Amino acid sequence: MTVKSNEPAVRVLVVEGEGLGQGTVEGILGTTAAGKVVRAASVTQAQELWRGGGFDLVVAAETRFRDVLDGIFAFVGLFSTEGIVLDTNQAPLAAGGLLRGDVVGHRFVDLPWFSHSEIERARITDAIARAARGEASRFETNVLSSQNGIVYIDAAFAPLPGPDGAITRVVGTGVDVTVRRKAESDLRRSRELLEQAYRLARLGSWEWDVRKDTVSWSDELFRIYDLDPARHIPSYESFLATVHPDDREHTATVLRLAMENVSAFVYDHRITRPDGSVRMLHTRGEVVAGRDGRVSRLVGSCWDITDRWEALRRAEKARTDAEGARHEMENILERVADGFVAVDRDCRYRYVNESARRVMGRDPLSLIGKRMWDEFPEVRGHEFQGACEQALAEQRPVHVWNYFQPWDRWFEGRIHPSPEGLSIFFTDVTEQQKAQENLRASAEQLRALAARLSEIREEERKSIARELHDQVGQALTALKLDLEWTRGQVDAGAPPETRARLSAMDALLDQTLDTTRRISATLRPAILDDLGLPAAIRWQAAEFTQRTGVTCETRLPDADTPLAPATALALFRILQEALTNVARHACARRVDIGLTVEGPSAILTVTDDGRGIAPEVLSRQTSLGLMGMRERALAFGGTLELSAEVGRGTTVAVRVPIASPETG
Amino acid sequence: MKRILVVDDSVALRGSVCALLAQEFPGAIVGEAAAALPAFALVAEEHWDLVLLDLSLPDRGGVETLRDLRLLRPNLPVVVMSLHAGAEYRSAMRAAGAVDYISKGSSAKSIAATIRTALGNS
Repeated sequence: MTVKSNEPAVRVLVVEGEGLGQGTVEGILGTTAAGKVVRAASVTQAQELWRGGGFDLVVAAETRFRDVLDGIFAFVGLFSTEGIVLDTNQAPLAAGGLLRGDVVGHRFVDLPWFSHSEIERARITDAIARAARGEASRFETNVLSSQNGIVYIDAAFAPLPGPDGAITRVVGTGVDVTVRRKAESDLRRSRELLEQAYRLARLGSWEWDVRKDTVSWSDELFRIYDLDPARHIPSYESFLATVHPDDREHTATVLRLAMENVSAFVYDHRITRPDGSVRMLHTRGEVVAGRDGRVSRLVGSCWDITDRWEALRRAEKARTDAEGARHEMENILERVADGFVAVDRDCRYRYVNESARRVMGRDPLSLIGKRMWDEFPEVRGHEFQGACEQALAEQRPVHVWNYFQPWDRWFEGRIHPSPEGLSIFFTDVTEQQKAQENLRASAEQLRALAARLSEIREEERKSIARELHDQVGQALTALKLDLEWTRGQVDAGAPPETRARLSAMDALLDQTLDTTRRISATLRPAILDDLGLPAAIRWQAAEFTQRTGVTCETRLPDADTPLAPATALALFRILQEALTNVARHACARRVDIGLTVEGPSAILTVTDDGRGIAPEVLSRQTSLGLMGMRERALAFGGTLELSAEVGRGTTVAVRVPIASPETG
Repeated sequence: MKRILVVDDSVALRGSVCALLAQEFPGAIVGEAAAALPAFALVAEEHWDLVLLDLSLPDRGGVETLRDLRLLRPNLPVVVMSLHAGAEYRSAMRAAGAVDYISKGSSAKSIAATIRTALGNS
């Protein structure tokens, strides 16, 4: 028998018996160098030896052989070199639920045991063929058991030479390794599950054998570090190099102290990955000491907590931002010119800013928690207290602008309801108040000045109008009469050219007289002074109709109104302005002018049926000479109202007191 | 012989009116006053058949002067003259007691006709 040197030596258990002498077995094996022969003196001893394991082959006398083989749990089969089953022990028959007759005489690989796998059939066929050629083999295979499903077998096939040395049979043995395989497979699966769990938890593990100075990492740890397990050999130094520079010293200290104290350790540190990204790891570990008390290794796990860390960082940032915003708010509140006071629902001070402190002249700290009305009794009953109570009761902002007598100041306050109570902004508006009063006074002065200017202008107009009338008008009239007299004297005997010239002079005089009269009337309608307001209105209405074609109806008192001349003039000028507006803007067909006296007031109304005035135009105080009209009315202690609706005409109503005030 | 008093502060106009009256009413006696007060004096002292009164006088308002003349001599016809044209003046002056109103721009003929009518009524 030739056995390759690299094959394991075959151990043969020889059960002593008939026909199996010392020399016989050695004779069969050919050489003891190829195998090891152990002799058993009895079947019992042989069974014990076999159970001890390590034997490839049992050689026994026929009867004993069967007894031995049937007594052992291993599967033993004897095959022809073609793979036909010549004999088998009881174990495989029992496992397969078969009788010896079911298998003997059949090709081994055609038995139901191999019906599940072409591959296994091929491997068995190959192993038997190799054994037939003198080559032993050992491998793991599996068979289909009718009772137990797939059964894993540690199988060995070896040649069995006949007495002449020729290989005539092949012996095969097999041991059921299913339980072991299952345990191994379970272990593998549980390792995988663990890895998976680690991966899911981003939990990597590591072990540092301090004595050997070797570091091993779990797959997940490689993933966490984004390093390739095939290329990166972990070490303490390479680990430290990946630790974020800011955390490196801390990391080294933690590990050093843990090793000095042989203690467990927990700490967080950042690492920098090859791509530059930073991860935050939570590491738990412990130091394992050898029997000699010295540190032998460190084991630990790393948990990638970057997401949580970033969330925390964001939360922290949000918190600091919010705090910053609150600080900023307080800063702003401290710096605003407005006084700001926050009080609770009982009007107890919660916050007083710097400006408020200045105005109130009190230390904010001494006010906190105290009631406003207790600290400033002078506010009791003041409009401000009412406003605060109103803001609290109605839960809406209240605006106040009032004089606070005890401090001789004016204040503007905005009182806002807040969840806690009230937020009160106030500002000292004494200067604004003064400015407003000054402004009001200036406006009044300006109005008086404007009225005076208007008066002066009217005087001037009147003077010029009179001059025109008295001087120019009279002279022209005289000339006209003289011309007519002359014509009466010379007409009959004068040459036609002279008569024509005289006639032309007459026409020119008429024209000039008319112009003079018109200018005079425009400057100052003498009719107002001569005949009073109603006559002047009638004259103006007729003149308006003649000039514009718009029908002008008047409702006037029969007698002159008891108005002061200046007031009458103001009303007349307002009428003229109103009529100018009608002519320019209204597109009216009819105007109604009314003048009535109601008690102490005279009321002039000018109503047209024109297109009205758009609200936006109406709201412009400077529109349509409205301001001038209103100012005139105001100057005489009167009022002017303008009502207009688009498409429905416009009414100007002026009410002035008959007893005109001194206009200054 | 008719006596006509012309009350007007314009010398030129008075001259023109006098010339007109002399032409239209030959033999008539024409008196002149440059203001209201001299006119009152003349009316108080002498008999007049007609007063031609200018509405704008330097010392008194025309309507006021007309009223006073009417008080002084209720039957003395007064024709008001004025540069102002218009129905307002005519009706207002009539309401105030004037027998008529002459717009100074009117032609000499129409003025003469108005005066003639007024004299005839007196």
